[in-house]
Amino acid sequence: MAATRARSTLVLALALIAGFLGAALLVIFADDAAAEVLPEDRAEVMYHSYSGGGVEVVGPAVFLRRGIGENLSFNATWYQDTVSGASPDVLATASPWSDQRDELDLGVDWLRGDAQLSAAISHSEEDDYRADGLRLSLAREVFGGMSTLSLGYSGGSDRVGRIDDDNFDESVDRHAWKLGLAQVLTPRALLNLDYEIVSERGFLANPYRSKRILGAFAGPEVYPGTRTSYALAARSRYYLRPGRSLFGGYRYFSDSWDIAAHNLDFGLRTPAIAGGNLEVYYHHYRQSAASFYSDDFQSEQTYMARDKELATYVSNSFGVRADYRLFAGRYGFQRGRLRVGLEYSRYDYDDYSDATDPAGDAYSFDANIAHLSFTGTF
Amino acid sequence: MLTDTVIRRRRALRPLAPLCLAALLGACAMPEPWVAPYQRGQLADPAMLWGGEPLADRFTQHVRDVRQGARGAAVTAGGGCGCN
Repeated sequence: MAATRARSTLVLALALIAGFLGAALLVIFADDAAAEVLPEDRAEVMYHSYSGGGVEVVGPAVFLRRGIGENLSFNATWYQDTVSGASPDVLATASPWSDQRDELDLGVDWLRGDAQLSAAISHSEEDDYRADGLRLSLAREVFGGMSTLSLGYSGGSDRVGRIDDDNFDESVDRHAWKLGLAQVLTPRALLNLDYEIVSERGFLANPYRSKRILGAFAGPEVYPGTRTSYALAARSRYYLRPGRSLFGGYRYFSDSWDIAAHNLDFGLRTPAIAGGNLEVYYHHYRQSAASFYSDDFQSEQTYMARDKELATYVSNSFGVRADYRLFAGRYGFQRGRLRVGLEYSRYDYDDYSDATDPAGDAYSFDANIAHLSFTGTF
Repeated sequence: MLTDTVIRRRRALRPLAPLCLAALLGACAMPEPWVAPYQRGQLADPAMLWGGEPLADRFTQHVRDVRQGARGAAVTAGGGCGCN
């Protein structure tokens, strides 16, 4: 087993090195005559809110992008979550709490001809969790500008603690490799294909959650120390008329914990009054349970989890996003836009019950998700 | 003797086989681009962009990652019309 794991790690490492050597060649031999462009300079502030399943999450976020010359652009994001309450799987054996998470992300994009190299670092911190990450990506237009090939790597290192135990100190290491293709199909249609492998090693459980055996909570969950997942997605957009498009996509996911999942999305974007835009969409998600998940185990096993995100369940979401042009050429901005997004989601579980509910029925909950933002472009 | 992990990994990689085959065949007989640059104006419309709202997209992705057991293969940022 250890030899298999070592071989897999070696194959992934070699694939990564070969991929980046190839991608570096793509950048070195990029066509200087081609004219890719970097995203426009902008400042954005947002307030976001999530409410559902006993958990409330609210907070502000700020994004800044500023270019230096035509080939270099820097961006910074600050994102804050204030979490209160707790979901029923945690509430079964712990108290609700309030916690704040602050995330800082700094990135740079470098353009060379028809190739773009992006790099970013991130740091996130809360009372009982700290995460540091690195992202690298390379993208290049090929085939007469009909295709954009991209390759990405992200790595992270997390420290996991417990708010009530200073001696609890665990870690998680994460590596992800991604391959993407954006393809022009017709003068009106685009297709995106994305494939990603994510590998994690370390303490992957929630330190506050307990397993249940024969109806009684019996100490902390026990997870495998590794998880490797594979995801393949196909998405498309179709142009209808100026400002109006149809979009949709499908993703298949499987992992070494035996979870298989399907995502399906589709929606319509259309112009609205006064230079605004309206987008309506539907999102469907379903997954099968992890091999070591049970709402109530009948006996002790090597690995035991009672995380409802590892159960068998279905969710359906309906959402709307709208933006409205506030002004042009004022307050130091070329344009100012106000955006609002609302989403309603319903989650229905097959094999998870709320332990605080005496009836013991299969659990379900509704979630309301909203954001409001202002974007100014320079 | 293949372990379950290796079998699962090979099964998950299977969808990539047609892509690899297409790439190999494409390298042997690359067709001419069939949509000329002057025909790509509609593809540059803002309605055809993925990921145009950095903060709202990050928020939506964060909610999905937390509430779903699956993760990965989010749409490639900036991947697009090939019309510049």
